[in-house]
Amino acid sequence: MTLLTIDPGSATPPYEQLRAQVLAQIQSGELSAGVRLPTVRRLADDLGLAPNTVARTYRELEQAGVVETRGRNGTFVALSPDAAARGAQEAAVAFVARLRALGIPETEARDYLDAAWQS
Amino acid sequence: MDVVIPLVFVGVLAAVVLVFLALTLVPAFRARQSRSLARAVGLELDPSIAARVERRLTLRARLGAVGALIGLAAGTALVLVGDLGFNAGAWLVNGGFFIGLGIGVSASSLVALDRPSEPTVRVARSRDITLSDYLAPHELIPTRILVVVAAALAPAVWLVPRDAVVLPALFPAAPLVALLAVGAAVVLEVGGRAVIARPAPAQTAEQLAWEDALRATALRQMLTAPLTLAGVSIIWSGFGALTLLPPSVGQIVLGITMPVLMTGLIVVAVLSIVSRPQRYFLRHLWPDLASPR
Repeated sequence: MTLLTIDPGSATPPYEQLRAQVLAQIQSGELSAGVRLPTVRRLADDLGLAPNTVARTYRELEQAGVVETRGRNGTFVALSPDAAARGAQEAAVAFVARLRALGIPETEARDYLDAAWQS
Repeated sequence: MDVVIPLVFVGVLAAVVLVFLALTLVPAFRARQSRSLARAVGLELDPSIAARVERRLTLRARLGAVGALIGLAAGTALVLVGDLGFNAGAWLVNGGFFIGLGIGVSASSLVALDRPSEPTVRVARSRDITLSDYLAPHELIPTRILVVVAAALAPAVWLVPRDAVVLPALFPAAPLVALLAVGAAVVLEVGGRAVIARPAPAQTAEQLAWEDALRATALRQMLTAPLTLAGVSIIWSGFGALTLLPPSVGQIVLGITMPVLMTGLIVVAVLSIVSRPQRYFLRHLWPDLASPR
């Protein structure tokens, strides 16, 4: 059974708990391509979260290419874990290329990455 | 006479419902209902969940009973106002009862919501769910097909010659029951989706499994009305359609269809008993919890 657990006492923000669990289930194959995810409102109600929190998670997963929104039909798992890994690799290559072009050293680039990860 | 017998039927049904309503006031009866459901669905009734399950079952029983009584009253009022004949009168009352019961059961699932009062760990399912996650395909699909067939066959009754021997029994009973079957199917499809769309706040996987159990049993109760009404309507409309055939052909068709129909009913009944459809949701949504108890 594919379950999500949100612990309000955890140091990890709820949206990050949610994002990490959905991503892990997609990568492990528990959630396969084409499976429809619960609506934002439904998941927010079930988990006691604000709808914006769930919407942000879905948005980030969509930007990462692992889920896709099909209009009013809902949000669906978009890619296989391999394709998600490929997408991440492509994003990393593009990121490094852009920072090199800007003349940013590696240590500073990692700081920017960490800051972006925490935001 | 045409009105008296349905009214006796109404009286008996209403008395049964009232006795059932009174029993929901008895704590021992409520506890027994919970234990009985736990055995049927194959879930442990942990003390931390028992009170919640009992509360939900009682609410469902009461709202279902009130809905059934309102449906019964509406059906009776129509029987008293219209000159519908015995068959139509009896099934109007019966249909009103089951549709009212379905609406009451659906309403109880929509009203009941056990939200934790303070921030706590919460669990939820990560994929969307539909009616077919709760109702076994061998129950849901035949019900949908029977309702469509009942609605399609009902107009055949209008083609039966007015002087045909069977007409008083068929008209307006068959099209009316088909209409009631469609109404009950709408209650299932619309009310059922509303039940599923309700939030399911749960703090543990066990609580979520019980929430699924309560929803699955409510949906199975809502399925009874369209299945029964469509079945009755098809049998009547089928007889109507047979009268349109030459008698010799009609007898042959009847000779073939009746054994096939009876065999089909027996097969479905045996399948239902063997496959334990009340545990379908458990095998489908909670395979880890499903055990051959």
